[in-house]
Amino acid sequence: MNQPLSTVYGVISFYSLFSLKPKGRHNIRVCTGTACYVRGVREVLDRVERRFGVKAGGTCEDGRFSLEPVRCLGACGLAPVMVVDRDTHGGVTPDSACEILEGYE
Amino acid sequence: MSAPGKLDRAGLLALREQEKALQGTAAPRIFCCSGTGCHATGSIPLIAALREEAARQGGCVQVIETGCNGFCALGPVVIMQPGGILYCKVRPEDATEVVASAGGAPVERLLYRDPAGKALASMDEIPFFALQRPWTLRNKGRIDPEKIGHAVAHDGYQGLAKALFDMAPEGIIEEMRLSGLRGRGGAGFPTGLKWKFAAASPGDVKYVLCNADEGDPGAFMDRSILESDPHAVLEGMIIAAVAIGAHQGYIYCRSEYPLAIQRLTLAIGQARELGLLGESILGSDFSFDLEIYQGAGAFVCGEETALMRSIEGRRGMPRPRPPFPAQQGLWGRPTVLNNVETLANIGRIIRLGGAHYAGIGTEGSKGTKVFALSGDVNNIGLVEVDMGTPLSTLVNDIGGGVPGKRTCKAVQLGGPSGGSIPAHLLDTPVDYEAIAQVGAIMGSGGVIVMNDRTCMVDMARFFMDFIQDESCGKCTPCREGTRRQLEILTRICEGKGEPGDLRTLEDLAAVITDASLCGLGQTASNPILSALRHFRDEFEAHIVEKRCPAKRCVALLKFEVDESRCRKCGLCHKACPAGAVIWARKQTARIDREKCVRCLACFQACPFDCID
Repeated sequence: MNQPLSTVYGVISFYSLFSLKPKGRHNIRVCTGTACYVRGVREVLDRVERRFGVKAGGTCEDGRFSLEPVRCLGACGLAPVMVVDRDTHGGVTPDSACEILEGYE
Repeated sequence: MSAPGKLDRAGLLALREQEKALQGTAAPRIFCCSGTGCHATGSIPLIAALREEAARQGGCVQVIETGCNGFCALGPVVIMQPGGILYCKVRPEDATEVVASAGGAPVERLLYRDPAGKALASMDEIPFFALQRPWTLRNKGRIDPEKIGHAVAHDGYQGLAKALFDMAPEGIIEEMRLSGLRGRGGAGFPTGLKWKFAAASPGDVKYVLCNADEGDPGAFMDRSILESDPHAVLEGMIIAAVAIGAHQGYIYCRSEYPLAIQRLTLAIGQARELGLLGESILGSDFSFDLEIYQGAGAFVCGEETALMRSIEGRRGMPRPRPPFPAQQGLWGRPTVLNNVETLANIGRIIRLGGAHYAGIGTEGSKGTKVFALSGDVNNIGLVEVDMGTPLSTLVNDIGGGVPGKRTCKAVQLGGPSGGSIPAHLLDTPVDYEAIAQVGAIMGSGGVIVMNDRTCMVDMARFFMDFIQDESCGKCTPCREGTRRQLEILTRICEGKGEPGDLRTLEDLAAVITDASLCGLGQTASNPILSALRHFRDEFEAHIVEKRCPAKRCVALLKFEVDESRCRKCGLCHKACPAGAVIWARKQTARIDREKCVRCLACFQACPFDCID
């Protein structure tokens, strides 16, 4: 590209979809848009973090899940929304989110 | 004469008549919504099941996959024609009955039920649809977005033909000015004026850009338009190009919208094939082509100068204006940048005339506006109303009010740049100026309804968390100031607020607003300022009494059951994931604070609000 490394790093670190860390086997994206927030996504995130020992933005020690809070996915009709790999799950509660995640090894 | 396979004006008209005849048949048709919302609730297997069943039952019922229908909360949504019968939450197992009901008596159990439980069959009877005026969204749920013929049958590209052959560029711009259309991205700048500036800028190379980087959380208007009627957006862009003399355009779409990108890509390919994009469009001597750029997750790229930098492959940081993009935009060339919803209006405005559009709406805000209604409201979805419609119509009549026994506390408009309008001001009309007067902004159209369990301090903290994370870091007041505001709000939510905090928040807000370069910084404090304007007492309760009146701020909750109010139902006991609620039949519940993990499950479960 004939660009200094600093420029490349500058671009990568600017956009949230570029990552320098390897992801887990399954990527959990939890929407933190306003509609999901109002409908209780905070509690869902808390429970998932506790249950699977993964911090928001991090990966479980066994590499099973990466947990990524993301910006509005535009599926506000289903709030709160959790996307695991390519599957979208709408109207999740702390209980149902954990139940869904148990299905991913 | 046009090249083989490409249409000229007469060819476009002929295609329209041919497609109209195909679609105008009285044969029963099933329109199944296939927007992002319905995808997630299972429309893909449903469509497959409906098609299989239609074939099995003789093949005379047509199944059409459409873009977002708007009634997202009740998806997958199916519309039966003729008759306009609406079915909600249809499962693949319902396919046999649904197909069999085509042209006959509706399936009672799949019909929409109003809050009183009455089944309403036709869309025209359901307030959610009946109170809307679909102008921009005229084709939603009526066409297959993946077939250009469907768009053409509904007069797609007729505005373009008129612009190319019957009008001079100045005439197009004048028509846009007459229409009074203002930019639907949020700022509300008159579209005709924007085009006029770009047309007047000297230069052979000019660009037309479409801003599809819909970053406001809680807004999904542009996504729905792109998914349901992508050709309307393409037509708008080509007309803009004719008006300013551009030959290349770009659509900047956020990559969080994979379905929108897929349908846009398909639409561009089809338009090229028919000669609606590329060299000598419709046989004229005008050429224009389009490319899609995907965003990589940065809210600030919705700002016009940042968006252009991002297309150039750099960090998406805004730059000072002037020079405005109309003079020096993408790669230093004159550029017009319009939002998706703005562009989707243009073909029809040109076809029907600016005066027709200006006949709808209020003095200063013409036409209609699309809103994404979400949050604590029954009918979540996409709605379009005339400018001037009161917010209460939007929330209570179209939206069907707040679910359960809760009440509406406020409505958030304009996302992180906007503000909250309290319930008692809901008679405010949808109008750029009227909304600004009550301390919010029209914004791009996200309307988030909040019930009485929403803490306004927590919401202000939520927006500030968003803004400080998305601040690009260029201007110190925005980069540092928003972080300080977030720290203060977090402290208040944790019960560590101090008496001078509100004053400091306001002082910071004044500096950030005045000293930031772009719209992100200039409007960053709006959520705080509007919350302070309408809900100051809530902030004071947090700071002085260390109490969260809405019971949302965990640090300020006692996790105690008020024995006088407890009805001994045990729902909190059942909800607790940590086994911390001690309860036995006919006994008052009690919370063991050693075991309690403060997850709020009991608060949500208690129907009597008796946990403090």
